[in-house]
Parts: sequence; structure tokens; C-alpha cells
Amino acid sequence: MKKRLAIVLSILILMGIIFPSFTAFAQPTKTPHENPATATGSLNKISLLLNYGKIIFLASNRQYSDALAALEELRKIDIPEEFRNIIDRYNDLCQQLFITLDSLDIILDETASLIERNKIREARINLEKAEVYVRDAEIILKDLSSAMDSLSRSFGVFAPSVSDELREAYKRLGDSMKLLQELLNILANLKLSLDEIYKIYTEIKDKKNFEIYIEIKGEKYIEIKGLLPTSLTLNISPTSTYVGDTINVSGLLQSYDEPLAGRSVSILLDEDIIATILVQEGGSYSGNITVPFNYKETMNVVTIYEPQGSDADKYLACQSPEVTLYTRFYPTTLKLSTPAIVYPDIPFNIDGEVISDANNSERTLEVTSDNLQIAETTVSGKFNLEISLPDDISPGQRSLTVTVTPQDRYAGISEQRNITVALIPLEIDLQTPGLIFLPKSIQFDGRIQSEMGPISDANINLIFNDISTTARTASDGSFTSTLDMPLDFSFMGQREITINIEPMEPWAGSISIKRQVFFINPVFTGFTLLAVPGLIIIFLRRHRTTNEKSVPQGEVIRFPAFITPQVSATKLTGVKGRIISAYRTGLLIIEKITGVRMTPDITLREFLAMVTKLLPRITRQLTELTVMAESALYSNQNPPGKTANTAEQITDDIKKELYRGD
Amino acid sequence: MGIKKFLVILAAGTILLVVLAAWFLPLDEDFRVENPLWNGLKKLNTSFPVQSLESFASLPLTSRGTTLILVPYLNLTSGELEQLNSYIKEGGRLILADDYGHGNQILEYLGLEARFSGEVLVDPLINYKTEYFPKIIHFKSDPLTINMESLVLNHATSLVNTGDDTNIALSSSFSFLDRNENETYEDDEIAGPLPVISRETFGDGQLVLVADPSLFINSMSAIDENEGFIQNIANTTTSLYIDQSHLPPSDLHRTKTLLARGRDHLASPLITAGLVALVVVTTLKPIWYKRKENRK
Repeated sequence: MKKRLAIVLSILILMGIIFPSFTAFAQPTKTPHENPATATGSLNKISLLLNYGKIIFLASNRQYSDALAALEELRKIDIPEEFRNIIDRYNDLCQQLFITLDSLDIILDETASLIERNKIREARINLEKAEVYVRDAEIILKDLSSAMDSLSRSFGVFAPSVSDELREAYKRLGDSMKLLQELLNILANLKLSLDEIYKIYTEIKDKKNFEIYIEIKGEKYIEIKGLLPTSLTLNISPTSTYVGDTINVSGLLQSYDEPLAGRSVSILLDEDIIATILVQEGGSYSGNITVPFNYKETMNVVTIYEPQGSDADKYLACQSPEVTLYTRFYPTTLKLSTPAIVYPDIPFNIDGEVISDANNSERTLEVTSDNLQIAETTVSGKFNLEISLPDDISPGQRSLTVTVTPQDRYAGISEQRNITVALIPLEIDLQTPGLIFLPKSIQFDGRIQSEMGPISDANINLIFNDISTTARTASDGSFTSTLDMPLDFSFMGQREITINIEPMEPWAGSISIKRQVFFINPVFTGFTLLAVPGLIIIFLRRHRTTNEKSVPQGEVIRFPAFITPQVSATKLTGVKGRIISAYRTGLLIIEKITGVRMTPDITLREFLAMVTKLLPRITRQLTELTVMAESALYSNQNPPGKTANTAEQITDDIKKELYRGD
Repeated sequence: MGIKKFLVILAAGTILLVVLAAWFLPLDEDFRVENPLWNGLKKLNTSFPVQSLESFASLPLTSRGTTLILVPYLNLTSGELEQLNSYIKEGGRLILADDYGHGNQILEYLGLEARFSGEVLVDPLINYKTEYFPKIIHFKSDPLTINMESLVLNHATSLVNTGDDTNIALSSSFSFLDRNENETYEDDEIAGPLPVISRETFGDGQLVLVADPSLFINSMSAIDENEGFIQNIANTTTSLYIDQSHLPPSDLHRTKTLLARGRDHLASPLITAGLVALVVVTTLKPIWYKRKENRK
């Protein structure tokens, strides 16, 4: 009954303690993320085919740059090895096709524009290029179709087990490919139409009275009407001059010898329009222009006439022949010497020389680093410039550009050098104790310096486990900080102290050092040293008690009510002495055979319990002898004389029994 | 042994077992700096000079140049919102990393238009293993994106109403917000590129929005250049703080905190000395009794 009750109560206690504790291990609902190590996935074929379809659709709508950008992104997919070749090939072909179609589209538009502007020679060149693009595009498109077939086989699009979504995605890709083919056909037909127009236009004798055009989807793509040709002549004076000087530009604008007064002519220098001049009576034009400070040895001058307003329906555009203008200027030479390594906020020198003429004219010097202006000054001939980089510049490789700005007839020059921005290493002299007794306040003394001298006002942060303390360095770089190490449950061992140093100087980098210290927790260690032997003693005593209780019932002998564990030091004589002597004789034999020693802290009964476990065959004799010995030791009554004989006899029996040899 | 003694020993043993289990069982809560498992921030805490905050009261007095990483999985009080407002306005940098938490509460309080969309960003093509790990491949030049080629997010969301000039990282054009969570792009779903990291100035400080706090967890830091992003954050700040006070505490965390407090109390010199005395007395008690009996 008691046992059953114990079991029921045990279960109730366990349930009461453990079940509420389960909530302690229950975690809040997981935030939406998963372990990347256990995540598995494969190439999303449906999405890939759908997106190829979208990209090709973009291209078929002539959104080539968007299609190319999306294709470039697709190259960043993690492709399984088995599909890598075919997908790479497909991407390459798509890219080639989009570039070719884009080029073809652009060149056909340009050609149409050229034909409209009567630039027949340029139009012819473009049409030849377009021919090549059309051929290339047709070849690439065929290759792309083959690659698409290979892709379908690799993805198993037509396998019976494949999903309908994959088949649908492939169908959509096929539809986009058809649209692309249509676009190519349109462009090829447009090219043919432009060829035809070009041919017709060159064969027309009377260029005043005709009108031809191409329509695309109901809108006029190109329209050429019979227009009057125009011509422009050009003279410049002088043909050689310094930059910044003025030249005169003049010429004649005519159409079939008829001067075109009142029209505007544009003057272009190296393809840049720099002035517009009004044509005078008689068709002549004349004007002065300033040669820009371009510091080039030659420039091409040309004038153009673009009909405006009602003239656009009457006259063709024209361009004068190109005339070369020879320009002069004073070149500038820059000699430069810069350090290879510099530090944030620490001044450094740039030596050099600016050579532009014999007089060493003053020139403006600009220093930049990665597009950030560092300094600007005026120098004359040799110079020595002290500059410093901003304090927030991050370390690494930087470019330093020294520019002599152009000035009137003097050309500018720029030199770029690579410099390394570094931080000066810190030298730390830190005294940490090798041995720490917990709990204790530990003082850390140290000094921080660099090749620039002591580091003052640096922030020192000492961290030991969860404890940290901060300090600042004095003007000589020294610091003292105290860390209060608390008492805890640790015994002894190695521990790490982290010291983070953050200097205020931008040229010195933050540094973190770790030091190992050996600690001893005397309180806890002492406590353990005390507790462990005590626990061992308690354990042993309990063990012995258990052994006593485990003596077989049949062998149990009634002992006196109280027996002290200590053997009396008083010397016994007579019967008592003989009994004790017999007991000792037996004891010696048993100790020799069992190896169990009768130490002072063991009582006679404990010894009896210990050895009878090992020698069960002498249990009865030894129990009897032990009782006699105890009586002799502790009883006030003198035993009868025969007791001593019996004791000696028992000792003999024990001896015989033990030496019997079986 | 009597039944009473047995039950007392059983109860004491079980309590001890549970306490030991709670003490030694590693904390597996999301975004905890003590958590060494895949979803913790122990790596961040040990690889970078990060100081964890159990309350905004521990924020530095001078916020200029410092950075606070905040994962708001719990609502902020009005006092905390004001503390954040002052922290940023006075020159601090707040990295608000959120996906499905309470980030929008902060943005609303700060009076900003930007929001976390709260919808799942998936990228079926440019990803790490699955569409729920979108790879971010578009970066604008910024101190936080130096040397970045790709970042990998983990069940992220996207930002909305952020200015083009403030967006510094965008997902690929194949990504989309999977509103109906069927992992397939539908016509009414918003397609990429979508902003996932933005940086804007606010007062004298800066506000960086990151559409996925999982970017910082132990298991994600070694993937692609995720650690580089954290390094860039560390490189551009004088002190780095991470808030732990707006993460939902579990019972295990509460138990551990309770035990840690208990240990701290026990570790005080007075209590330790008392304990030592108690153990010594208990240990020596049988010997003392025995001697007394002997004398008798």
C-alpha cells in the first residue's frame, strides 16, 4: 500500500514540476526566416522560361536596353551544372541577337534620316552595314531556335510527367520568339524599302517634282519630296592662330546659282555648333568667331544649312566642305613627387615644377583625391605644397590628382598618382597581472604611443566577461583603469581580458588586444576543498551503514546497545586479556588474507561486516569472537575463564578454516 | 526510507534537473546575442564590437557617430519612440531592420513616408537555394555598400515610398511581392527591382531601413557579402549598439534571466561567504555530533 502511494505521489510530483517547466522551453512563434543550411531548392524552370519569354517580348517591342539589362541579371542565377552550358549558350545568343537588332534598328533610322536630308552617300554606307546586320540577325535567330529546342530537351518539357505550367511557360517563350522573328522580318523589309527608295531617288532626274514615302503600320516612316538642292562654300582667315583669338568665317549659300539671303548658317568647330550667321544679300555670309580654348593642334571648321519653316518644303539641306584650322598654344609640363603612404589629417608635401614658359608665369594648381578637392593654390615654377587629407578618409588605395588648370594660351595638365592612405600603428605597453585572486579590483596600467608620440585622450575600454570599464589616456599616453572582478562560482583557470583602444586622432586606427590572465577563486576553491572530503566521509559512513544492514538475517547477532567506535587504550589482563589476544590473533590472520585493515576509525562491528562479506564461511565464528572481544573491552563484568578458552578455540577454528586451502 | 523523505528528494532532484537544463540549454530565440544557433546574433556579437541593450535607457548620452541596430518585434512605447527620435536627430544612426514587425510604427512616429511593405519578397531566379532567399544584386554607391556584389536575404519584405535617391540596394527585376503566397508571379503583384535597403538623413543623424533583420543572424552572415555589409556598418560608426528589448522573450529566456539574477545575487561576497559557512557547518555536523557522543 505504501509503495503504491509512493508511486502515485512520485508521478504527481514529476507532473507538477516537469510539465509546467515545459513552457520554459517553448519558444515564441518563429519569425519568418528559415535555416539556410537546411533549405533545399532547385532551379525554377517555369520561372526561368517565363522570364526568358518576357525578355524576348521586350526585345520584340524594341526595348533592347531593358531586355539586355534583364538578361545580364539572369546571368547571376545559380545554375545547376547540368543546365549550365545550355543556359549560358542561350543567354549569349539572346545577347548577340538583341545587340544586332538594336544596331540594325538604329542604323535604319539613321539611314532614313540621311535620305530625307539628301545625304545619299552616307545613306548608302549605312544600307550596306544594315545588310550585314540583317544577315547576322537571321543566323543568330536560327541558332537561338536550336538552343531553345535543346533547352526544352534539357528541361524535359515534353516528358509525360512534366507539369502543365512548364509546358505553358515554354509555349509562351515560343510565342515571344515568333514576335522576335516578326520584328526581324519588319526590319529586313524596311531595309529593302530603304534600298528601293535609295535606288529610285538616285535615278530621278528632276529632283524638283516628285514625292516618295514608306509607311509602317499606316504611318509615314520616311517621306521624300522633290526639293531644290543647296550648296555652301567656306573660307576662314587666318587659317592658323592662337586659342582664344578671333578668326573670320565667310562663304556663299546658293541654290542653282540663286543666292539664299536671309537664311541662317551654322558654324561648327569639331562638330560643335559655336555660332550662327545670317546670310546677306547676294548669298554671302561672314562673321568672326573666337577659337575656343581646346588646346588641340588642329580643328575642323564646317558650315551647314538646314532649311527652316517653309524652306523645309522647298530646299534640301547642305554642308560646306571641311576646312582645317591650325591652332597654337603654350604646352605645360608638370614634374611631380608625392609620398607613397600618407595618413589622414597629417600634412604631407607634394614637390614639383610647372614649366610653361621662360617667365615661370603664375599658374593655378588644384589637388584632388577621388574627386574631392584637397587644395587649390597659385604656383610659379618649382613648388612645395603642404597638404593633408580629410580626417574622415578611410584607409586604402586612393588616387591623388594634381592639375595645373589651363590659363589663356597656356594649356593645362594633369598628373595622377596612386597613394596609400594608412593608419599609424599604435604601440601599447600594458601591464596586466599574471595571477588574479577573485574577488578583487585589478588595476591595469599602460601607455599608448605611436611614432608620432604619446596618444592622449584615447578611449580605453576593458572588458572581462560581462564587466567593462572605460578610461582615457593622459597627455603622456598613460592610463590607469580598475576592473572590479566579482566573486563567482568559478574555481580557477585562464580567462581573457579584452582591451579596446579608440584614439581620437584620425590617423591612428582603433585597436583591440586580448590578454590571458590566470585567476584563482580562493573562497570557492576553499569551499570545495572543504566540502569534498566531508562529502566523501559522509558517503563512506552511509556505505558502511548500508553494509551493516545487509548482513544476512540468519547471521544476525544481537549486539550490546551501545558500542563506541574507539578501542580502549587500557591494557587488559587475565581472561579479558586472553580474549583480546585471541581476537587480535584472528584479526591479524583476517587482515593478511583479506587486505582489509582495522583502522582506528573502524568499529569491531564495522570490521565484522566488511570482512564477512569477503569471507562468509567464518561469519559465525568471527561474529562470536567479536561479541566476546566487545564484552571484554566494554563490559564491567569479568567473563568466566572458559570464555577465554572458547575465544582461543574460535581463533584456531578461524585459522584452520582460512588455511584449509579450498 | 520514509515516504516523506523519498518525495522530498524526488521533488528536489527534479527541480535541480529542470534548473540545470534551463541553465545549460542554449537559448534558441531569434536575434538574441546570446544565441549561438542559426537564428541568433552571437556571431555578430563576437565578430564586431557590438554592445547589446536591454533598454533604451542604456543608449549613449551623445549619439553622434554611434549606430543602433533595432529589430522591432514588439511595439515601442511613446517614451521609447521619443528616445529614438532624439537619438537620430542628435546625430545617431538608426538601422531599422524589420520585415513583419513593428517598424512602420517607428516610421509613422518619425513622420516619414517610407514603410516596410510587410509582404513576402520572393525571387524565383536570383536566389540562394530557394525563392525565399532573394539575392540582392543592385547597389548604389554608398559607404554601406562598398565592395558589395550580392547580399542574400531570408524571407524578407521590401520597402515602399522610399525615394530613388535614398534606395541603396534593390532586388532583381525577377523578384516580386508574393501577395497571395503561391510562389508564382501574378499580374497584380508588384515586380522588382524593389528597394530593400535605404538610407536617408533625419535631423543630424541617419535612418537606414533594412527590409530583413535576418541579414544579421549567425547562419546568414557567411553567405555572399552579408558579413561585408555588417563590416561596412561597423566601419562607419564609433560605437555599435544592438537593441534586445524589443524581441519577444520566451519562457526559457525569462527562466535564464531569472537564474542569472539568482546567480548574481549568490555571487555577491556576502551571500557566497554565508553559503560557504552553511556548507562547512553541514559537512562538519556529523563529526561534531560524533565527538559529542564520544565525550558522553
